[in-house]
Amino acid sequence: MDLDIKLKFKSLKTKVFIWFGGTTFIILLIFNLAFYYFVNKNINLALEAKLYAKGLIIYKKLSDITKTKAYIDNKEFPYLEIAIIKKQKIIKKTKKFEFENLKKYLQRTGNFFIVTNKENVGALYLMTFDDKFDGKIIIYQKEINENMEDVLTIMLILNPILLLLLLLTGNKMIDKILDPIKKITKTAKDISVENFSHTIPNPKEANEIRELVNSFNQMILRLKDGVDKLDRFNSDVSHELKTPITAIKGEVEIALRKCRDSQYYEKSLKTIFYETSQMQEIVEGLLLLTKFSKNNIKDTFNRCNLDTIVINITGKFSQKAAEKNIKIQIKQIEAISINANEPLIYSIISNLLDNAIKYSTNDKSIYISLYKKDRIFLTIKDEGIGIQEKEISKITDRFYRVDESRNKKIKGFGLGLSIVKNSLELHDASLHVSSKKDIGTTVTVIF
Amino acid sequence: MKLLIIEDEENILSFLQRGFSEEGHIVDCAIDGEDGEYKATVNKYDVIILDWMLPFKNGMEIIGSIRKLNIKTPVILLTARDETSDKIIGLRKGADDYLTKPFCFEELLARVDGLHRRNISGGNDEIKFKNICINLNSKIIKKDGVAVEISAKEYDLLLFLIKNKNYVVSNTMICEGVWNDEEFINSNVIQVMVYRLRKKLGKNIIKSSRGLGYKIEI
Repeated sequence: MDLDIKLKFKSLKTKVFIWFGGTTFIILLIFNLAFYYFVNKNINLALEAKLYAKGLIIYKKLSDITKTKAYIDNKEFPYLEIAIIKKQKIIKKTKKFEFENLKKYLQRTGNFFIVTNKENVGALYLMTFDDKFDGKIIIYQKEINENMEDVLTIMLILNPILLLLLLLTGNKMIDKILDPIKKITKTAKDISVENFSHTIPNPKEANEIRELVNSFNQMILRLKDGVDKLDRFNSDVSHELKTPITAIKGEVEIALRKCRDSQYYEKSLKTIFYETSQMQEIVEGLLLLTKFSKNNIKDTFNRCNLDTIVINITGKFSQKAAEKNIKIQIKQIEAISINANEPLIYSIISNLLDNAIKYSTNDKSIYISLYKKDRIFLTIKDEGIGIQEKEISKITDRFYRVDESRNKKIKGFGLGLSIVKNSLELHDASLHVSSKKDIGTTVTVIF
Repeated sequence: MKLLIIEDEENILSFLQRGFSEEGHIVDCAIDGEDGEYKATVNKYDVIILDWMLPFKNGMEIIGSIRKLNIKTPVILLTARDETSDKIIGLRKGADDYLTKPFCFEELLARVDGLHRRNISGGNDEIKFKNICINLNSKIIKKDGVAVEISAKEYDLLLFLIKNKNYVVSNTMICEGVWNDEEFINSNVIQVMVYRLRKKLGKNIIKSSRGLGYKIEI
């Protein structure tokens, strides 16, 4: 529960919502301030113009002082208070004209002032005439703030409503945008090693979410592929290990049924030793397959002389070849060195040559060449039993063995070529196999 | 009983052969499918133990061809394949039982005994005829309710005769079915055995047909 609340607070939606709300609020605030400022300014300008006009009217009628007095008393502009100043003294004013710091304003430059009193805000307009009138007319409007206060009130009421509406629509929009993400989450939760059947329905319009969904679906497929491979690999391993385990278990069980003589035990132990060696071979082969990856292989690279390795391995296998009277001939060899993992290179070439010998009948030849054209080529050509075309693509699969090899009782687990292929991939090298049944196989490694 | 084991892994074949021989069974071995199929069709066995993956001819093909020849010998499949679907295929094709590797020899022994028992008595633990009662589980034979001491070979011979009840079995057939070794053919071991069985169980249990062989009438 606690985590839920924490998550909710930290959730993308909350973040987007806070950002959206905050930004909207700030923009609204700036807009309102600007609006208020301009409206205020306009109102003041209009007021100034109005007061000026009134002042002019009064001035025009000032030729006759009595008339002026009559005019000032007139109720034509009840909201205006007027005073006339000559030689720094008020000589005439309307009844309600009261002004505390008049002198302060009289000394200032400019004509129009906003006067802030305790109770209200007023506007004062000073008109100075240097002609025969030689005096000042003061027009004072006691209260001007009504309009502005209205604007402020409207703003204070409207803005929260506007903000609320924006946030509500924003909330809905965020939900709509996040909806596909929720679907992805749901699918992701349903995915497990046992269940890869779900993919996420793709949104119709092409957008970023669709790209995400696509990548996600592809990831599911890749994972499924990987897990399938792993499953098959596991079942292969258990299958291959079952044979030696059966032999060991049975041998022990039979040996323990009675008291035996030492010869019997010796024979039993020899059998067990042989079978455990078989298991070791399988496990080591598998380790070789999984030990290195593209990421860590580069650290193990050093300079290898391919020609030396080829000659060494040929020497090592000459005994085995001689048993079947097979001639290994090096047709062409150039001094070539590459950066590689030496044990892996050894195992690659050993496996290939071992296969060539295993699948050759007696009295045949094997030809090896190593040369450099734009890339480095190593070919091993045998005159053995060959492989059917439809089988060639499968021979590098783990534990795959061509049926004929089982039939002809050639020993092996079907791991060799799989190790070769894997090791070559780690060296960015490739394997090419061409073969004709009963004529022979040519294997080419290109570095 | 007489068994045929068809298995291409030499070490597995070796301990199976020793184990069953020590139990007093006669064991024939085949190291590949073709040899196994030949032996299964030419000789008579009580039970065949068959590996699935074999060189030249796999276990399924062998079952197919022997069933085609109307050979009803019980077959127990022995294989590393442990998927249920594989078991179903094996049993549907005509195997009578299925055991996955690695297995316990004792279990295989028990299953083989079971198959053999079912084949002889149709599933009953006991065979009764006249005043004789044979318990196939404990291998105890009672005459008129009294247990009779009997050797393993005599027991095998008796079961062999019961299996071929009402038919005359020749010396050669007995030799192949119970001893497997040709060395007895020219000896009178069979005669001696029959004599001893008659002495223990009663004279009229085993009938002789002069020059042809013996039979048990049930």
